[in-house]
Amino acid sequence: MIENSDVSDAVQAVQDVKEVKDVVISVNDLRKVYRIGTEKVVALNKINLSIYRGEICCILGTSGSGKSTLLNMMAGLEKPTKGSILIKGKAIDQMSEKHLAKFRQKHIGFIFQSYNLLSALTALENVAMPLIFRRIKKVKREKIAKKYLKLVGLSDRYKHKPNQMSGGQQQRVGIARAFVGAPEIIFADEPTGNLDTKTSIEVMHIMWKMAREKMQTIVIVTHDPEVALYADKVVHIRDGDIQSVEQRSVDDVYEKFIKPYEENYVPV
Amino acid sequence: MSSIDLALMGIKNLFRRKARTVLTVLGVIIGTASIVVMVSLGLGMNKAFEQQLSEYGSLTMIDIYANQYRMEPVGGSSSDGQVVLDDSTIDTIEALDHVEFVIGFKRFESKIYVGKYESYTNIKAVDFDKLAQMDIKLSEGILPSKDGNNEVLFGFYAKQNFYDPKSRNPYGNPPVIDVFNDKIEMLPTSMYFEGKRPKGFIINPTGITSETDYNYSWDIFMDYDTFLRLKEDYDRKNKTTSNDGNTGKGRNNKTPENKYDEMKVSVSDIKYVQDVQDQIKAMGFEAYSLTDALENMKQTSGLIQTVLGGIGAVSLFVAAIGITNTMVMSIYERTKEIGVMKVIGAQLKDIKRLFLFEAAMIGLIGGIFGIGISYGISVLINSVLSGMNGSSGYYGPQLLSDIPLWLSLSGMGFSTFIGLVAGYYPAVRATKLSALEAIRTE
Repeated sequence: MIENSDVSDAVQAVQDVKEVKDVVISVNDLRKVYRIGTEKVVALNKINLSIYRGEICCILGTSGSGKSTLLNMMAGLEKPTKGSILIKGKAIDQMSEKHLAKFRQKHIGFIFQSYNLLSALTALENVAMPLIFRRIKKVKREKIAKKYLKLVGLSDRYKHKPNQMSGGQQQRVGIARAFVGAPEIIFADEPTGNLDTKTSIEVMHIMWKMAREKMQTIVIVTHDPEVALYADKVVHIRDGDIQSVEQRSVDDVYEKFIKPYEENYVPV
Repeated sequence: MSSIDLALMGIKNLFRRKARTVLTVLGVIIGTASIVVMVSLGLGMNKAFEQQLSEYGSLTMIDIYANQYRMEPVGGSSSDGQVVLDDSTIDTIEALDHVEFVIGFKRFESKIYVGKYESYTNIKAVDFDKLAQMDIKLSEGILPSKDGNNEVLFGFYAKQNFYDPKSRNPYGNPPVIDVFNDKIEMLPTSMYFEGKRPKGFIINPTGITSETDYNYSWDIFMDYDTFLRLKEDYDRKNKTTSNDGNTGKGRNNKTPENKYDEMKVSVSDIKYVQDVQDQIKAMGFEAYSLTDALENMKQTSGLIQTVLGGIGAVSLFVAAIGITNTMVMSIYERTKEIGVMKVIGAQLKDIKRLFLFEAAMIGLIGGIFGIGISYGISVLINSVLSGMNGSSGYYGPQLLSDIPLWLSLSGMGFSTFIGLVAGYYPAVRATKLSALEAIRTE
């Protein structure tokens, strides 16, 4: 677990960065239209959004609001109909599949609603997976993976297969896997969608602290306002348009949610 | 992704789907085994040919036959008539490079009497000094010499030709002739005698040829000069002119007569045989060597091998389709897994290599077991079929199926290659899967 003093340092750092407006993700006039048969469905109308380094950004909306589409396009999984997305200054909508794969490997982590762990592999192997693709040797990558499993509180579950773990545990493995390569940006698609409230809070807590430690940016897509409580930027999206952007102080979030949780922390 | 990790992951994936992997591998095993066994039969045939040919005679021998049935002499130097087989021909050919010696044979029809039995057996007249240079296998005794008293070399089967002319069933009960101890009388004629027959000459066999050497197992060999002396003596006594049309010296004929009707040329090494043979042919003779037959047989067996291999190839082709099918199924099953891997950092080439590796492994494993089974089948074929004609057969134990090392190695290589080819389409397909679609699949 991370020391409190580290966290407040991190909070300070985030604020410093925000002063110089270090934009990590920049979405410009983004439009996405799906064709279903002869009908056109506008998923995203005209989205403009900037996400800064170290920010925890929550995209909040009901189902069908276009929030998942936005996330998929930011992660390069879908191509926009119009507009562009710059990540670290690179237009990822222009990239080829091959370059996207390389880019994702280097800069992006992903957390899924249904965890998407490889069922044949143990927790340790699942977490080490992204490092395999980076050609890191087995001994080294297992050491790193163990470190991250410890960070998510699963130091006693290395050898467990996904089907031997609870949903909360599986999602924590998923989080460790997303963070293991120390990417600058982590996308989370309804990370608490399959979890109960108590586990959801735990998962959000872990994500918050891990991201803060290394100044990583998290983009969370959710329909759950409680998840949004942990974000310092909340983007309300509805029918393909941004309704409002709520900005909060990181200190507020820390004081209100993280600190009280830690004080009453009982390991599950 | 490093190769070791890739290999481990691929093997793990194959293991996860044991039943399907085993079934697909089984297809490759059958394909590889059938192709290898088929080719091995072809190779075994080749070996058997060579073995058989070496029983027919030495591969370094060229046979020349008198072209007595030829109307027009061929070759450029035919102005002064037909070429003949006589001692001057022997000298000419012996003067050629790489020729060790030349030996001439002349066949004479004759009758052999042993007690009440008789037989029409050819006498082959030959220079005994030269015969000694030939590598003739004997089953009993020694080679005859010129200096002995009417010494002859008995062919292994020549002793089986005897029959009793007075018997009602002359050929029903072949007598056992003791070649070395029975009194053997020879008449240098094939005439049939009703009642009393003229007196012949006593011949003394010193050896019997080997039963496996067909060139020397049917006739009785006698020294040329000795035989001519006996024949002239016989003709004078019985006042018969040579009416068999097959006599040695044609004093009355104007054209030169063949002293021999068959000549054998021994060449120092098999690689010169063709060359020497061509030179002899250029002189206008009919020359044959077993290398001709060997070439023919090799061509035939090459054709058979191609056909057999083709049959095997069909089953390997079916196996290849099986691999493709398995890999495509595997992609459907692992759509989500592939998508997740893509999103968490797998490169396109990692995914492609992973699928290619799995397909190649199916090929390789199938190849290895296929070769193992081929060896088993090969041993089975050889033991069953050589048991059928082996001990009693004239050919000795034959190899019907032969799997040399190169065949087993290339069999494995080929099946792996087939696996790669079969896996290429599924692998490319896997890389083209949209990561998004893959993740969405629930």
